[in-house]
Amino acid sequence: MPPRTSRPEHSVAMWGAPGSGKTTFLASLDIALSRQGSSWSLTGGNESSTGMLVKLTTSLADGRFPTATVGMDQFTWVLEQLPPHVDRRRLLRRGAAREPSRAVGLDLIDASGEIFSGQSARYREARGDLIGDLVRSRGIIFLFDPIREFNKGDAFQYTFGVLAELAGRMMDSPERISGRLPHYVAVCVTKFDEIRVLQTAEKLDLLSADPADRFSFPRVLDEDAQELLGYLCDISRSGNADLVVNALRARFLPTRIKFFVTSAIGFYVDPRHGGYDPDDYQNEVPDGREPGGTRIRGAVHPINVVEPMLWLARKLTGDTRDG
Amino acid sequence: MASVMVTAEWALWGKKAGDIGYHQLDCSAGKISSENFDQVITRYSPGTPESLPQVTISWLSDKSQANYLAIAIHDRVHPAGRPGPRPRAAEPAPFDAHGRETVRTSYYCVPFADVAEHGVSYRAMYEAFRAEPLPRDLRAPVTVKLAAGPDSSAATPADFALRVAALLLAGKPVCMLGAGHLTVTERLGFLDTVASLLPYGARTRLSASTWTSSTYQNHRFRLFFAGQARNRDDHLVMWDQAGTVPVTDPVAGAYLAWLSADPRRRIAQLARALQPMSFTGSDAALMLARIGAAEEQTPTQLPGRPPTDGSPDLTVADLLVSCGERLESSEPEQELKADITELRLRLSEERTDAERQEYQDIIRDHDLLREDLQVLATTRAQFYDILLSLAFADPLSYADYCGIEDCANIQPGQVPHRSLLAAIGKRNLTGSLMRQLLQLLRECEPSVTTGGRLSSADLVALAADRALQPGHAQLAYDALAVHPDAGGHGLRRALRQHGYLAAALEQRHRSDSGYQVLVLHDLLQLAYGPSLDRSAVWKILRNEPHQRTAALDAAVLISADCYDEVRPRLGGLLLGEPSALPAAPPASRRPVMRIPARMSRTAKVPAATPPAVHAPQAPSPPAPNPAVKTPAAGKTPARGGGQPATSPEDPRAFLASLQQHHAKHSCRKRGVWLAVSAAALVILVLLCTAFAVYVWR
Repeated sequence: MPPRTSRPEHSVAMWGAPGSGKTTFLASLDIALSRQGSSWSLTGGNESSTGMLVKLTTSLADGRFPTATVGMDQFTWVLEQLPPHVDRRRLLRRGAAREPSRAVGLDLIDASGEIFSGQSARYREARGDLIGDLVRSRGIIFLFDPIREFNKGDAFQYTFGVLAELAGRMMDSPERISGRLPHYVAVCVTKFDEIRVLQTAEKLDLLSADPADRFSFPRVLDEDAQELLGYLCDISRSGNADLVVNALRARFLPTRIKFFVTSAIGFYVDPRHGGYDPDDYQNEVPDGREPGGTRIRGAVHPINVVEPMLWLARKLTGDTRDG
Repeated sequence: MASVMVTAEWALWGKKAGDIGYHQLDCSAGKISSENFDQVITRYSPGTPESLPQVTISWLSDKSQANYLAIAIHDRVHPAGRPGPRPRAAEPAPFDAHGRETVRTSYYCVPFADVAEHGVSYRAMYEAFRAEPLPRDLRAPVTVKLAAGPDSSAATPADFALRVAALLLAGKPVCMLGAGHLTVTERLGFLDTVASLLPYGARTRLSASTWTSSTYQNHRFRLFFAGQARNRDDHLVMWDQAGTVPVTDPVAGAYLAWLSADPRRRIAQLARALQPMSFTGSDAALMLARIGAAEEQTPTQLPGRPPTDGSPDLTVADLLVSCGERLESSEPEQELKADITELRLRLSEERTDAERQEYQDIIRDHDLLREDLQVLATTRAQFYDILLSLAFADPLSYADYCGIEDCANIQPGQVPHRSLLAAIGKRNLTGSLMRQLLQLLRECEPSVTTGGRLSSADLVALAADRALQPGHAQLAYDALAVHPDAGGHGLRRALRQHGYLAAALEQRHRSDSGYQVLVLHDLLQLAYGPSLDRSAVWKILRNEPHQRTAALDAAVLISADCYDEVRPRLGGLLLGEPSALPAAPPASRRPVMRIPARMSRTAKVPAATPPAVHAPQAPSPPAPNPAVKTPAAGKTPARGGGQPATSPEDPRAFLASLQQHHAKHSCRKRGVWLAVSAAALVILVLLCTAFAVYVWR
């Protein structure tokens, strides 16, 4: 019989409109950790979760986007930081203490974006399940898709209803702090690799580069992420995008919200030059073999994908150590 | 082979080119509405597909209570599309707007009555319908010829198929593992075999899937294949390992014994059992009695089952479960009315507390008190009425009302929907708390006309009741905020009389001092206006004969018209902002409020000032803390900075100490400002001199 695992202590929910990249974000997580050479690694908490990790990661590594989620997937991944390898002889000689490993179990909830919609009655049951899971979770990765917001402008529709229901369900929760919900929220502006988002950041003079990054990818620092989001909200099709941020600030403690600018697939790197080319960086291209399909052009270099998850992991565990 | 012509209604689910989310693309123009198709397709979704095609089995009923068997085929959209001059508007696209591959779900349902007489199998339906692609021109229904009789694989069922069939009567879903190597047709054949080992009428409530996503925890299939077990309480069955399937449930065990005696004969018997049935224990017993199993075995004399004479009476619990199942169909009106009549007959029976609790559990689990029951308003009112009568005591107490909220799956403080509120209003009530709360709930529901209005004093008295749940108290606070008496003497008197609700708030929100402060602050503003004058501060801080709380002190601090600079700092602390914390550790006497040492009342009085000067009428000071050294005999032991402290129970001393702190702080600020100005002046003079010297030379 397959092993049953108990619910991990830390539950993190993905939240965003359909197509905002929730599943792709999760699919890129393990690749991002490997690319960074991070001491953190990702493992499945049980058989089905391991299967999900392998399926999502291999799909993205093969240049294919994961299929759209149907219903609501729930799985347990464990973020584990192994201590650096220490030569035993030196260890004995110097009497150094071995640093313990750290592990954060994350119960991830990846719901189909349609369930977050406040307008459709067809997902009533699934929505009830979703709210229940959000009540139990303490970390939220909120994905804001600027392209969808520019084209459709419906982020508020996928936010407000769920937020109001969540607040209603937790009205009497002793975990509320000063009347606010106790969750930590990582607000991720997705699709940074998309030409319109990158150009907007450039226009606002928010781009910077990490000197340690051998590809010299452009980035938006976390402290500038909110400014970029503010501008992107201004050009929302419906003009309601600013309400999303305001609603989040009203319901959650402002000190528990952090902004990130992310890209799950990153920029294209030409293998011949081996670096970021400002004239040729588009990594998502139409698939010539299948009309209507898209594929990932080159290797996946996720940007700012690990950071929100590690931030949540640290906050949820009360960990203040670096790394 | 014999066959039967049937007409099926259908719906097509998927994504069109440019779509991002899944939705219904088209459906037949028949008895089943588009909304019903939406509901049933999303309800019986297998989750994110892992391999395609897959088949799911489900059921539904139409407006006239006719049952339907349904089969959904989940498959890829082939880019070639259907032959024809140009694609239809409802044609699904193989890729969505983000270039992700899509799945098309072709959903077909046939009247149960049309297939039941002929014992049509699910596999026969699959074979026939997969040759009939959707959508159809003019939304016409699909007419196909279905092979009659059971699937050939069901002729000699394996032992574990018998066990799986028996397990389905044990109440929990059955998850089949280790069958990933089988084709979809083989897995569907197994589902058919298991279905043939149940009465044919059970298909009116059977849901099954040839595959479900292991990470989709909340799917609603009763029998399903999966790669791994989900985190739910399912019966787990490894494929083809009969010995590992323990059947411990008494009903399931007895049924297995009956089946195992002569499987072929049983299958023939079961194929003739066309009466619709559910998977509840009582229905199973009833079914066994109907098909004559009771004569050969003793499944109806099972533990916990009432002895039957061929037509066992349904218990109230069974009837409630039945109501829940009927309400899942699209038009439950007639069947629900019959159940209501049956339940009404049971009203005269005595009910124990345990039975009431059982009924409450069923009502909650089946969400029977929900608002959107698909029945007429009169039927709905009767239904709520009978549920409350059966599951709750008469007269209704406040504890019962909390139980109703739990059963209705609403949060304490959330106003019940209008129909439920009306049903509660018809009950006899006990206690003033319950009567006042009901009146308040009615006031909160704008569509309900109320006879009178609770006064502000009533609302304060209600909120002061220690038995009241936090959510209900919040309703009272909210009502006070919009009450015309706000700012009046009545409200002040009532608040004073009930100790400004400080004690009740502390009892309800002991761990959330910030919330206590906010509520108290709002209440004080309502009663005394935007800021408290000195006399009001003094009165509130005395709060005789009630207990003062730290939250009340803090609320007074925030509301007082002096000490402006104290407010933001304290507000920051209440919001948990670390920047508002002082460098020194807090020396607050009460742990619930984090008042910094230099703002706390024990640290504000100058060392030379004896407490008696500030608090001549104060109660006796607290006993000296032996862990703290006393600076001088006769003085109160110091805290924090080692200064002598006033009595913490003395509001005037506290007030005076705050004033002193304020004055001292202002002086210090003024001193710093003067020093900076003098330094700037000196620098300016020096610069001028240097410039003059330079010009002169």
